[in-house]
Amino acid sequence: MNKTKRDYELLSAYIDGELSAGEKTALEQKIKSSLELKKKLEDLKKLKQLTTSAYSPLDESPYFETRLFAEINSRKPWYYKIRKWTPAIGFALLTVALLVVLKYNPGIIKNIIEEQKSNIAGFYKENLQPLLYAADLNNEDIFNFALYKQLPLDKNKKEYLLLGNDKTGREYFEIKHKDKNLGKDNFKKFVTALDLNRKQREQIDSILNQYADELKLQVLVNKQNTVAINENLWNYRKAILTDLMSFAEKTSGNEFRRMMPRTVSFTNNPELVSAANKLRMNKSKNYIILTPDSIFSEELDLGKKDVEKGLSELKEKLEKQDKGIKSFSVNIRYDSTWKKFNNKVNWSSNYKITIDTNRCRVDLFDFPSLNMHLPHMDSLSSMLDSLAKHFNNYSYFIPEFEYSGDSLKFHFNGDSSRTYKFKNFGFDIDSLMSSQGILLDSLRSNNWNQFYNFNDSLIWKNFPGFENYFRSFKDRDDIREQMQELKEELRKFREEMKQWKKEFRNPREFKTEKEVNIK
Amino acid sequence: MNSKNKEKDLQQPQILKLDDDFSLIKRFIDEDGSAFRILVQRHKEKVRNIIFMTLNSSDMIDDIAQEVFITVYKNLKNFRFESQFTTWLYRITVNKCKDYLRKKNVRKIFVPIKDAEENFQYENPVESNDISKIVMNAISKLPYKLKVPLVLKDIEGFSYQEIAETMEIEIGTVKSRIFRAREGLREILKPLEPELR
Repeated sequence: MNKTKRDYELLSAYIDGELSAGEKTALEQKIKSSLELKKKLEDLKKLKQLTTSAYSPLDESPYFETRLFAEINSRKPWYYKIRKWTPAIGFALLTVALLVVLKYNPGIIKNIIEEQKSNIAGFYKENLQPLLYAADLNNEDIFNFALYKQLPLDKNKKEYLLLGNDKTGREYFEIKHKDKNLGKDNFKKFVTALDLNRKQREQIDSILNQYADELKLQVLVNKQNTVAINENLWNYRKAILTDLMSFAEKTSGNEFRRMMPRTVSFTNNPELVSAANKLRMNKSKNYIILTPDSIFSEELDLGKKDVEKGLSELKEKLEKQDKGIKSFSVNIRYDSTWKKFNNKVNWSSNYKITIDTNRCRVDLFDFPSLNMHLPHMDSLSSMLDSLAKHFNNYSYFIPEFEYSGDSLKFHFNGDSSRTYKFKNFGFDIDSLMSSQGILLDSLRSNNWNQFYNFNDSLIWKNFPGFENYFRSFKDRDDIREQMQELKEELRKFREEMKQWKKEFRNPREFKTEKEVNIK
Repeated sequence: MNSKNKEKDLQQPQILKLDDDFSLIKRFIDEDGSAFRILVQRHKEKVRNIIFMTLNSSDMIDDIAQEVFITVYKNLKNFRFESQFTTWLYRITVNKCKDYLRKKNVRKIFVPIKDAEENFQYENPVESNDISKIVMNAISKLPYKLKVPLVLKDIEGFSYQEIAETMEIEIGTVKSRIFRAREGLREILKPLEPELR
C-alpha cells in the first residue's frame, strides 16, 4: 500500500472517529500541511453525509411476531408435536391390538370375565360354615327369626340378616348393622305368656332345636363377609312359625287365644301344618350368595350327610368337654370348579341392591321358584305381626315380694326400677266386662285387626300394668279357677255374638279361615 | 427525596439496560416464554433494517428476519454470555443475508435473460430523481464484503470493534473495507454528480 492510500484510509477512519489519540494528532498535522489531504477529507466527509442521510427507516411489520411464533411452533421437533396426539395414538393402537386379539380369539373377554367371576366366587365361598355355629345362635335368636324375621350374622359386629316383603309382596333381605331393637328375652316372655309348664317348655325347646338343625344349613357365612342364603329360608321361617304357633295353640289354647284373634287357628288348618312339615323335607341347593362386591346365586352341593355328621360330633364334643367354646369352624366340601360353576351360576340381574351407610338390601325379582307354598300363611302374616307386638303384654315375670301382715312390697327387676307398696287390694270384676266390651266394639267397627289388651285377669284400673301381678299371688289358683269360669262364660257369649253378627252383617267380613276352607 | 435516592433512581435504569438482554435470556432459559417475545420486540427493527440495507430489497426482509429469530430461538439456550447479545444477533443476521445472496447468485444462473433484464431496468438509478434512492442504489452495487461494513458504520452507527465482531474479521480489515467501500461508492456516483448537487 502506498503512502497516500494509507493516509486516505486513515482519513476515512478519522471521520468515523476510530483513530487513537496519537494517530489523530499525527494525521491532523499532516492535513494542515497538505492541500490534497484536505480536499480528500472534504470529499470523504461529503460522501459520509450522503450515505448517512440516504437511509430512511423501514415501516414496521405489523404481524411480524405473530408470524414468527407461528413459525416457531410449526418448526418444533416431531416428538414435541406428536406429544399432544399421544392419547389418541395410544387409543388407536389399543383398539388395533384389541381387534387383532378378538379376531383370533373371540371368546377371550368372556372367558376372562368368567374366570374373574369364578375366582371371585371361589374366594368368597371359601370356608363357608353354618351360621348356627358361626354366630353362636341360641333358641332366642331362632325365635326372633321366626317371629321378627331377624337373624344375627355376627353378634360381635352387630350384623343382622333381616327378611321382609315389600308392598307388592316381593321378597327381600337386608343385612344391617343395627337390630330391630327387639328387646331381651322375647322367647322367655313368650313362654311365660303361654304359661307353659316345665315339660311343655322342654317340648318347645326341642322344636326350636330341631329347626335349628335344619336352619344351620340354610344360612352359611365365612370370614370374607360372605353370606349364602338358601332360597328356602323364607319358607323355613314360616314353617318354624307355624310349628311354634300350632304347638302354642295345642298346649295353651286359652293363653294363645288371648294373644291371637279367635279366627286364627293353626291346629284347625291342616293344610298349613302339613305344608310346613313338607317344607322341612324339601331340600334346595340353590343359594343366594352375597359377597362384599357381588351377588349371585349358585347351587352349592354341601355333602349334607357329612356335614351333619361332623356337626353332630362336634356338638357332642362341645357338650361333653368344653362348654366355654363359643365358635369353631366346619369345612364344607362343595364342588366349585369353574366349569361347573360356569354352567350353574346365575349372574343375571335379578336383584335390586340398595346400599346405604348401615344396610344392604337385596330385592329378589325372578328368583328361582320358591316352590313350596304355605296355604293361608300370607293372610295370617299381619295377625302374626300383631302377635309379635302384643305378646309381651301377656308375659309377666313374678316379681320378688315381701309379705308382712296386711302389706305387700314388690321389687321389680328388669323392666322397671319402681317399687310398689300397697296395703289393700281388691278385684274389680266390672272392669273385666268393660274390657271385653272394647274388644267387641272393635269387631263391630270392622276394625277387627286391631287388638286391645284383652286383660281378663283382675284389673286394678288405678295401677295400669300392675294388675297381672296378682297371677303370682299366693291364692293365684283360686283366682284362676274363677277366671276360667268367667272365660268360659265369655266364650259362650262371644259365640252368641258371632252368630248374631253373621245374621246381620255382611258375611264376607267375618269369614273365619275355617269357613273359607269349607267353601 | 434526598440526593442519594435521586442518584440511585438515575443509576438504576442504566444498570438495568446493561443487563436487560442477559436477564431476558436467563428467563428464556428458565422456560419463560414471554422473555423471547420481548427480545424480538426490542431488536426486530434493527435486524430488519440491516437486512434491508444489506440486500437493498424489501421483498425478503421479513422472511430473512424470521429466519434470524428462529435461529436465535433454537440456539439461545446455548448462549454463553461472553459477548453482547446484539453482536451475536447481528452476526446471525449478516450471515443469513450472506446465505441468501449466495443462493440468489446460484439461482440467477437459471433465471431467463428476459427476467434478468427487467430486474436490471427496475434497479437503474438514473430513472430515479430521489438522492436517497440514488445513494442506496449505489451502495447496493458495492460488493457484499465492502457494503456490509459501510452500512453498519454509516447507517447503523456501529463502531469498528462491533463491526469486526459481527463480521468476524480484524479491525484493520474493517477500516480498510470501509475506505474501499467509500472509494467504490465515489466511483459509482461520479457520473451522477450533477443530480447529487
